[in-house]
Amino acid sequence: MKGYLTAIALRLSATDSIRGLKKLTELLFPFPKGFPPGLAVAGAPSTLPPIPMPSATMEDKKAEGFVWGVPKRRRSIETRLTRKFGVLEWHWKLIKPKYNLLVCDTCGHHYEAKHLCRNCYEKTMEETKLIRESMEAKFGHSPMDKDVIVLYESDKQSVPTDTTPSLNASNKLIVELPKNRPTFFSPNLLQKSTAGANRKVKDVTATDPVPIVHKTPSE
Amino acid sequence: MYSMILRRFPGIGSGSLFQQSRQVLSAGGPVVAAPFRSISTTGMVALPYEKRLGPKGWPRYNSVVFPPQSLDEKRRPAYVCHMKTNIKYSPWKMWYVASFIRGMSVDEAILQLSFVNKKGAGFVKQTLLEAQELAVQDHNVEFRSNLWVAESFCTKGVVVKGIRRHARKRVGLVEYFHCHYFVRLEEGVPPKHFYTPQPDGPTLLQRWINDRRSQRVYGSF
Repeated sequence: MKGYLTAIALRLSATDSIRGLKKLTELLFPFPKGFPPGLAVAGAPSTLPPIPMPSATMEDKKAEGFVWGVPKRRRSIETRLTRKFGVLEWHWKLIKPKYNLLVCDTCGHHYEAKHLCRNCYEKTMEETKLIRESMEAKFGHSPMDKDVIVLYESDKQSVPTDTTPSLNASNKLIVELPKNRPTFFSPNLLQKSTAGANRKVKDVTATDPVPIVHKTPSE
Repeated sequence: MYSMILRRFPGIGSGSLFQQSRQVLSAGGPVVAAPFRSISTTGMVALPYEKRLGPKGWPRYNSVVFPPQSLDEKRRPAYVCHMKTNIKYSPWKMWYVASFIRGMSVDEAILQLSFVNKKGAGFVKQTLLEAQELAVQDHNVEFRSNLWVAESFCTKGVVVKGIRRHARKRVGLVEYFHCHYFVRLEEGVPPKHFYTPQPDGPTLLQRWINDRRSQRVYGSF
């Protein structure tokens, strides 16, 4: 990106930028063939006596150079087609259409089978971000040794049940959000599960799940 | 330009839709006096950095006015040409995305592009959505879903050259490629086969039989 931007800047800076660029390239590659001639291949020193070449002139010696970065053979049509299209059994380079696309019942967007609906997931990510921001604003970065309860406006208005978070809990940290509870964030998700470190403890009882009542989604 | 290649003055009405539009353009039809040349720029000279760089010919196909059709002729489907110029993406990589959607309906193309893991797919999807809007608003297309991708191709755009270092004080040239993407949406149901399909077994067998039957052994009785 940095190289691209500097290249763009170079191009736009001067009025005769093309001429400037040509001059620049001439400065960098001043050699007629484009490469410095001095960097020849250092071969192994020959132990044999030098064979006299009768027709060896200065021009012939110059021509006996090392050729840099040049194709050795023409690329066959098979090679070219393989590079462009790939091989069907192993690596097909053409894009294949997907036939495993479904429509999400909740939002109506398309999603790939066995994956999450991107639109729905983005909504949950937004909500999570909001909760985290409000938690940070209220409690800062101090360690949270108590359960965190997220309280929405609709929770305060509704009749309290086993799973709705209570306002007067002293052993809980409460985060209040000035909006209604989204339909995907059921209060049942926050109920404690029986699975824990100490399964032998018998005085801990799990609350029964409350049946979720489907309401019309609020706009 | 295509008009130079396909100059068929007497035969306007014959040939494919695009050949017809090119004929009209080449015949110096009403397009020549179109907005592109009729804007007066007296007293205002465009400065070098204000000039619109890139191809200009493709959207001109939108302002082609065809001669009225006879009652025998099939109804000419509406089309819209749209492009996106100087996309910062390699044209050789964009080719895969452009060739992917050829012959698809617009809805199918947009849906499939949403799940293509390439940078160029985003640009192509944007272009398709814009073209769809243009078709409905300006080009008399009734239903935005009743469109299919008739032409989809890309060309090389601006190439910005940069420099990079190599070992041993050597310098290398870096090329930052851009591409232009062109699309033509046509009204109607997409064809079953955009390209000629692979021949089926019986067809291949018949061809083989015909080859064998036409074989001649020279020097025989």
